Amino acid sequence: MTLIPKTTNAGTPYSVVSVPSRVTYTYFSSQDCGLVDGENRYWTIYIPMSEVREKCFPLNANPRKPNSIGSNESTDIVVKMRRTISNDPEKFVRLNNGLTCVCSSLSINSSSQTLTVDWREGEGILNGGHTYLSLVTNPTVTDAIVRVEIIELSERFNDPSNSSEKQDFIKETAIARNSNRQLKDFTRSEFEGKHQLLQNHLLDLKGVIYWSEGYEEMVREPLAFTERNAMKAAVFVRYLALTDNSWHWHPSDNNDPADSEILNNLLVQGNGTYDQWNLVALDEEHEKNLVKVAPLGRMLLALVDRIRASMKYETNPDGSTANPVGCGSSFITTEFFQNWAGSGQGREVSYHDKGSNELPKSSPHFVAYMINSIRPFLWYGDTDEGFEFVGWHLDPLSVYDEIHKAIVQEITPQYIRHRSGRDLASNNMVASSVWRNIVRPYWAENCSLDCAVDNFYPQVFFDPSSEKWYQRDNSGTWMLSYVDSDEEWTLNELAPGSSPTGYSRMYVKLEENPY
Amino acid sequence: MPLNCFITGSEHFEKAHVISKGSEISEFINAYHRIYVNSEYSPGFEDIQNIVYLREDLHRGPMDSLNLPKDLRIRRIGFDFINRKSYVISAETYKIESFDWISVPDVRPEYFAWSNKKCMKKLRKFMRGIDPRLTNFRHWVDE
Repeated sequence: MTLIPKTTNAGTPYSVVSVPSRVTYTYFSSQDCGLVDGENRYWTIYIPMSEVREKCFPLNANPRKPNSIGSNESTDIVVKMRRTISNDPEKFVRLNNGLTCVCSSLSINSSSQTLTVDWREGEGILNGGHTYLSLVTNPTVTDAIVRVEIIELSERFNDPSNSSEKQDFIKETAIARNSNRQLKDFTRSEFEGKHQLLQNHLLDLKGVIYWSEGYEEMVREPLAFTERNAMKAAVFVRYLALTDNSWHWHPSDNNDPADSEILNNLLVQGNGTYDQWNLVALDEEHEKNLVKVAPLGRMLLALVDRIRASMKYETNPDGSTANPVGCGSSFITTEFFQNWAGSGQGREVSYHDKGSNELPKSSPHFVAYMINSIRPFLWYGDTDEGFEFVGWHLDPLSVYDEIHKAIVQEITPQYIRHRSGRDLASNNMVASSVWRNIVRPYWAENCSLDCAVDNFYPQVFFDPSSEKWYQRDNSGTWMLSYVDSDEEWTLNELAPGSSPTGYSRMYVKLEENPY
Repeated sequence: MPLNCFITGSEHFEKAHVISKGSEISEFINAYHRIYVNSEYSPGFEDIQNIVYLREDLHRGPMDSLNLPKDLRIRRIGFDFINRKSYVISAETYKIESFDWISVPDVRPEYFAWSNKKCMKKLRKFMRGIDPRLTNFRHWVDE
């Protein structure tokens, strides 16, 4: 048996058993309740706290990883449990629901009062993570006893051909058993694997997002990210959807949109995008599953930082405003800046550099509004192979630098007619004037729908097939070609020195994500 | 026009707009202005040569996806007005099933093409493979 050291995202250290493992526990009493559901065997065991601390349990099956803020008893369930363990240990077994576990096999030796459990992949505690954390982190060992319900899975679940059915069984049980304190949607989604693809593209930045309650892989350096300072999973999904032409309007579908098309109400709906995405996240064929734009995740975090940094209030030594400037006279005194664009000065941190900079919180409506103006510069390339390339005509952060001041100047006067960011972001007329007067002219300079011109082709794009990024470079050996009749793209490697043919441009393969 | 579903022949049908009207007819008006750049919309245009009779389940399912939240709704039915067939993509298996038309509805080809252009990508590509004109409303207007 090997113990794995863990740390809750509030910094509390504890250990769990690695799997597969065989662990023998001494028990106080045990009862074989039989094949209650006709297939799996149900056991009720009472185990001394000392055994739980010494031998530990695996926690793989628990969707909500335990966490403790470690001080406030009124809000922290772990602190409350620890108090019972320390002050009234005899009450613990009565007041606490105990642990619910699932395992592959279990044997009892009544003469030695021990049980031996085979823990395999995905097994362990599926409900009672906070009880477990209380027991293993209590300052002292007491006489507390914990009730453990163990579901010993039917032998057939040990057959590798039934592994998917076993996973579903554990998932269903875990989600249902955790319903005494309802799992948050995002915790459930994390457990169901819906976030996985998005996380894969974020690489070392995935831990700046709070993917589930008690998420364990938060970034620790240079700043320890927690639930409070991390980006919420639903916010990330909302922003990511704003980069997707399946969710929102894009000039490649229509370069003369109606006012109502430019602004989608989802822009200003808190969890609206996430709630709907949840329904199709695992649906491989659904165009709104965000698979296509997931590679843009790192760039998106950098863009969100850039948007918030542009609204960071900074002064020169003489007291004059150093930033933001160029957004109109007295911009920083406006309600728009104070309550929306620049709200929460210094209250949050940057994401892309893992918290190295203090930034304003900025209203998510404002951030979303700005991303909405950047999307036209993104590029999507359909293929005949069931996937799409994704990239950009022009670097999104440079685009933001170039146009955001003009956008802010355009919308600031409108703000006085509205009460909240939501009102402004729902105003199609304003969005239309932003597109026609500011975004479109810049877009027309740098992007094109005409395959005969350079600006039709992306500057940088990601190929899901090779899982690599490519950058425009005439000396490159990768040819990105457009087939006009099919409206599809292909990517082929040519011999060095080759020239592009037809509607195509040359690219080099990048070893690293551009962001 | 016979009073039957033009795909299944069922007598239990509903009127379905090929180009959706949308909230306060905004979707149709927007489409109309895109299709006919130099023409002004007049009230009632949305009901002229834009309606098919569809069996209830086809209307509420593949056509309007009423079981899904608003932002996830996407057409799973394509209209092959050249070969007089309809293609329905299954919500579960994503397999495409073909149905021969029983009758020919009085709908403008550019409206059908607009609808086809707005349906699921897989279906769109499938139809483009059959005939690119099926998803190109401009072809029918510029003719």
